[in-house]
Amino acid sequence: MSPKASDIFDILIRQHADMLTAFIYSMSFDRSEVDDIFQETILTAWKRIEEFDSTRPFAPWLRGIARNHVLATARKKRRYRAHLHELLEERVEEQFGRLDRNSGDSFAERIAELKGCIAQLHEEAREAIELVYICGVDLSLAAQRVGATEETFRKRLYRARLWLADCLKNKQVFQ
Amino acid sequence: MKNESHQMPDDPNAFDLGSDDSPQRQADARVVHGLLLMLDRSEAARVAARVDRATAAVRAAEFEPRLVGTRNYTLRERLAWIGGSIGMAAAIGLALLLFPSSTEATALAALDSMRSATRSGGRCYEVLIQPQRPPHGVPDQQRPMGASRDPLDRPDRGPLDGLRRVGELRLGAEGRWTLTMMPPRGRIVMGFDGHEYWAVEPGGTIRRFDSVRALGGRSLGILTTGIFDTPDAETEQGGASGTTPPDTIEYLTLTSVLDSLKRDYTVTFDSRSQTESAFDRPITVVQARRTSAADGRTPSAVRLVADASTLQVLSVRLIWSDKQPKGPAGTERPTSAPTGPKAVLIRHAQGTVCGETDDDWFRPERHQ
Repeated sequence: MSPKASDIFDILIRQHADMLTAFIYSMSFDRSEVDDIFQETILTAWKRIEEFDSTRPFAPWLRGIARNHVLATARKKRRYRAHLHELLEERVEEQFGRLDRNSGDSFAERIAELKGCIAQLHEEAREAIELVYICGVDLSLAAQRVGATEETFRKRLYRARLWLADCLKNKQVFQ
Repeated sequence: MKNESHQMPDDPNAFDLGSDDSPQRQADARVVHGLLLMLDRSEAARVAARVDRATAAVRAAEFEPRLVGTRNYTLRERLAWIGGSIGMAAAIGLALLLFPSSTEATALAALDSMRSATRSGGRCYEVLIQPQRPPHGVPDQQRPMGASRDPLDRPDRGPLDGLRRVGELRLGAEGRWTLTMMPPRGRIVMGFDGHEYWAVEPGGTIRRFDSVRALGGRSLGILTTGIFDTPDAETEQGGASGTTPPDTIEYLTLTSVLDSLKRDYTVTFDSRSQTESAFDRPITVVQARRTSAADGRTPSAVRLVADASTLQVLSVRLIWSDKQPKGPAGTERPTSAPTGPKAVLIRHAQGTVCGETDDDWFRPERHQ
């Protein structure tokens, strides 16, 4: 018995779920929106699957749908102007396109170099990244824990992310 | 431009709004932010849950239009379909809110979502059984369940007339499960490790089966008498050939219940029970009644209770008909022929009923 279209779609979605989640995290300003945007993206993709050109890769098409849902959500919440910076969006898509082409069977393998870059961070920056992103500590609590103001800590995180982006470029994970 | 109203206090991305860096540079920092969030220790579970919810909604969206075909949609069907596309739980809630006796199509879609939620594993259930007849030498002091009213019309957390706890069901990811039974002659564990079905008998012997039907044939006696009997030739032959109706063991694996209901039963929502106080959360209740004549081996009615928001199954009550299966030319089958129990209740285990379940749990060697 041949598999149903929805079964094949399930497999595709499971293959791309990590990438899609990371993309929505990158585009969205509010983590609480991610669940809804993810689900709306999948449903839209399913309803429009006949429009998908199967000679082209699935991931950019899926990200295009997710991007529209992120923007629609931003508009609804009146974040449109702050959010919509076309150059920024294009660059996010470029970087994810680059990640698609990296070697590795899974998304985790394609971004494996990130852990190596984190290990190379200056101690203060590494501590900030680990507290917020790996241990999931709330930003204000993390700031208290390291004895910094929230604004200082936020800047520290931002600089750490820029440093990590440069590291990933050097390792040709980013472009 | 820095606009504080656009910032989420716990979102490290918020700082980007005020950065003087180029959009490309800010974008790179945002991508790193997205990648870093994937390193969070609990993110894998969150992604799995998102995928399950989204694929359940896809199945609901797929199912509704196919059922209504080319005929004109009724308002009820349109609303159910629209609801399906924004999320299964939302669809069910919407349909039930507007139409207390919702369509069978939506009830079937709810079954799909329950099945999908079950596949994610990580659940543990108590199994309670009321045998058709008590074990040899045990006086029958149990009142017949539901004698005075519809057997489905009863809560699953109140008094459990005639039902006794006989085991536990644990569900793992990718369809893996174990069913631990405690018949009088010792503990027996059955399961599926993702590749094959197995049973560990009270003496520690591992038996392996290529189908759940074959496993069910070997273990039927537990459910009818509470004793792990060697099956009679008919049962064993039926189990091997797979031509008989599903045996009770199959129904205890939960996934099989959800599969069989779509084939052989008429399913409806029970709108009266959506606020059943025995559960500490909003619930969705689906009832199923067998469409063909009772054969004594398959449940005549089934009642499922699920969490209304996640559609995780909270309890399943299976009722077998009192009628014996018919023999040739409509004669009563000999009483020694295997039949199902009178009733089974599979209910989500609360608190510490079940211990730690790791991947190794679903291998038979763990239970020798």
